[in-house]
Amino acid sequence: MSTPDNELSGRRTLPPLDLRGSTPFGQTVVLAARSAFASLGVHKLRGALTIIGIVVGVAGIFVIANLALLVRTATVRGIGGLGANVIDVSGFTLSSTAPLATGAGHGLVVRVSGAPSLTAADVEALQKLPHVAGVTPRTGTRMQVQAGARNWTTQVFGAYPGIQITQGYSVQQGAFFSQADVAASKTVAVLGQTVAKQLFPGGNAVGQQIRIGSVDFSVVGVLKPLGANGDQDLDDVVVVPASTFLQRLMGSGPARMTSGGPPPGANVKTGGGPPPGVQVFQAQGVQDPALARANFPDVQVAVDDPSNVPTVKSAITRALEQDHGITPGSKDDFTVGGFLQGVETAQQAASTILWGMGAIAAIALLIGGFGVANVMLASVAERQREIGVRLAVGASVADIFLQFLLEALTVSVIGGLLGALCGAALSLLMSTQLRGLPFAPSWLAVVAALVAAVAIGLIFGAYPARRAAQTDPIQALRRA
Amino acid sequence: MTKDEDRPVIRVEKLTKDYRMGTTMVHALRGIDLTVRRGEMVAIMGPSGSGKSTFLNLVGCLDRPTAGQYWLDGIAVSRLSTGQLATVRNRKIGFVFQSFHLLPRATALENVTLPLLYAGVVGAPARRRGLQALEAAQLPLDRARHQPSELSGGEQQRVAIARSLVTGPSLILADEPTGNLDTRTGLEVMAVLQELHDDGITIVLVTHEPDIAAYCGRVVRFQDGLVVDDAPCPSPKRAEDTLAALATKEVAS
Repeated sequence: MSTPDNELSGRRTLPPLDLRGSTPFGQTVVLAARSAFASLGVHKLRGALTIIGIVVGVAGIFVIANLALLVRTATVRGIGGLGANVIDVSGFTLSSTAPLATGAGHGLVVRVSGAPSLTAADVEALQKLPHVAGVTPRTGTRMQVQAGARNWTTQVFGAYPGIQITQGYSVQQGAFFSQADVAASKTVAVLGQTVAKQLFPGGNAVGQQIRIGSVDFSVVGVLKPLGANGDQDLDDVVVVPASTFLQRLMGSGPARMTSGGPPPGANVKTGGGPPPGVQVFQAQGVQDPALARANFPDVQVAVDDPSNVPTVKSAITRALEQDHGITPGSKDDFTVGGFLQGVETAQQAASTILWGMGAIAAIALLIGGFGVANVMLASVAERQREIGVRLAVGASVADIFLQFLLEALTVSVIGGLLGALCGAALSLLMSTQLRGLPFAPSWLAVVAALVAAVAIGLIFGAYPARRAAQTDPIQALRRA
Repeated sequence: MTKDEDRPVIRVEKLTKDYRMGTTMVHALRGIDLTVRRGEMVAIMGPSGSGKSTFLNLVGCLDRPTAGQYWLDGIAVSRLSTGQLATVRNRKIGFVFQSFHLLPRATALENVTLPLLYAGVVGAPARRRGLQALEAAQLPLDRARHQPSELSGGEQQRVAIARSLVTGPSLILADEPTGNLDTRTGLEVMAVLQELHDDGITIVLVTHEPDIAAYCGRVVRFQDGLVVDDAPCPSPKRAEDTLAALATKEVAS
């Protein structure tokens, strides 16, 4: 190769170049990624340690995002959807458990034991309390309702006229049944819009006869439409007097507290019954059938103003303790706040766990971030000459900044992808170990994990990239 | 076109550069007036500290003068922004360094096409042009896929020359291009530069070796930040001839 090449013909200068102006961004990304991989390849241990930090942090974020979704779902459907001025009183001693400590079923678990303790006298006493706008017991079950040849399965509630206040019902046609109807256990029914339309497509439901289970009722009113709450049709409902429900329908059908979720069609807006995702366990064999037929598992109290809820809550507790002859210090056989209180307690426990895990994940992520910054700073220091060359051949300061920022992003996104993978594996493992928790990795968790990784790359890559961009090419290209 | 041909590639007036080194002020350049016309091959000589490297950095738009004017290809460089200077370095200037300064983990061809990346030329057109540049710098094309560590010093410097050519600049600035090479390889590199010069490229070359300066058509001497001598060399030596003579001598001995 030492002979000067005389064979080459023509000019050695190149024709003028058709120049586009600046570096295509896509190319910069590809080259930065390649450069990052090359750097990681050269310093394997250093790169691995950095990535592990990101992986741990992102995996933590992933699991937390998953958990948070679980708790949030319960919150939104349960507490968040409860009318702020309605207090739910459960006729059971409710002990709640944290979601992680349970072994079966789905979601949060509330345990109940014994027979319901709330009586008609209790309801009357509560009606007399100050600031109380309306009180109704509420029991419910899904039953088949017939009118002539048509039939429809719907949610049947046993209640007092006070349910109009607690649920926000108002009558469109006819009238609501009265307290006298309740006292006389009359077989009268008020239909929601959906039920009225299904059973009487021609209208004029009022005055017609329907059969619920095996008992005939006459329709006295039809409710104004309320619409839907989430996937629940609030108008798919039949309301009958609570006394009639307990005496006639409980005897004729499997009427009891619905377990494994809310009474479908139950108006979650005003609570009553467990919210979706909350399972109620009722201890078997301890129920007195007579009591179960006479007493109410659930009573709802509407307060005139949400600000009076705490006052009324303690008034309810005092009134019921007095009625039930419970001495101070012994355990109440009712729970003010009802199932939702149990859910709240469970959620508090869950959120404590969440915060703890969140803190660990944040620390891991922060350590990972400092790792990224450290690796990038070392890389900038080692590659002074490269930066000098790039500047000399026409890279702008922005090009250099972008290159090193993208390299940091590459490292953190690799960590992020591995972290999301580990997080998903961890979540699946948790869902097999703790049956019943819907830990299936969600896309939102994947997104959260990757957003965290990208944020770390940007935050901790920016400073080293700035340092790289500030390189003085003359210093960097000093003759070695 | 004639006007274009007549325009000097480099014109500096009263070019001054001071910089602080610790607590003392260094007057690296004390007011240089110099014009380099299109197609010249100029050697800049002088002892270390004479300001020749500072001059090269200023002419190469890697640094800004403290005072004075500089027109590169008719462009008043002192008025340009940092970003515009980057573009000028990319389009108008090619650098060749003493220690080659190739990216170690990139192939010869990737090194050559690096300036094209910042000119927005990528992919197949960039590779085609990179190969043309390597051919012009007389690197055997089978070396194009090799990394710098797999190339000899002379080959590495050819890659660097190809890199300096690839965007079609008006000017090549070479800072001691033969400093890290043995005599024969240095002569080979000078032969490449002379052939590029024959084809019309303007070359400014910093060297402290009179043997190397002898291959240039003009020799400018720096001392203490001033030009002390500026002499044309009407018939410079041809590196090819020297190499041929060297080969004959080797055969004879």
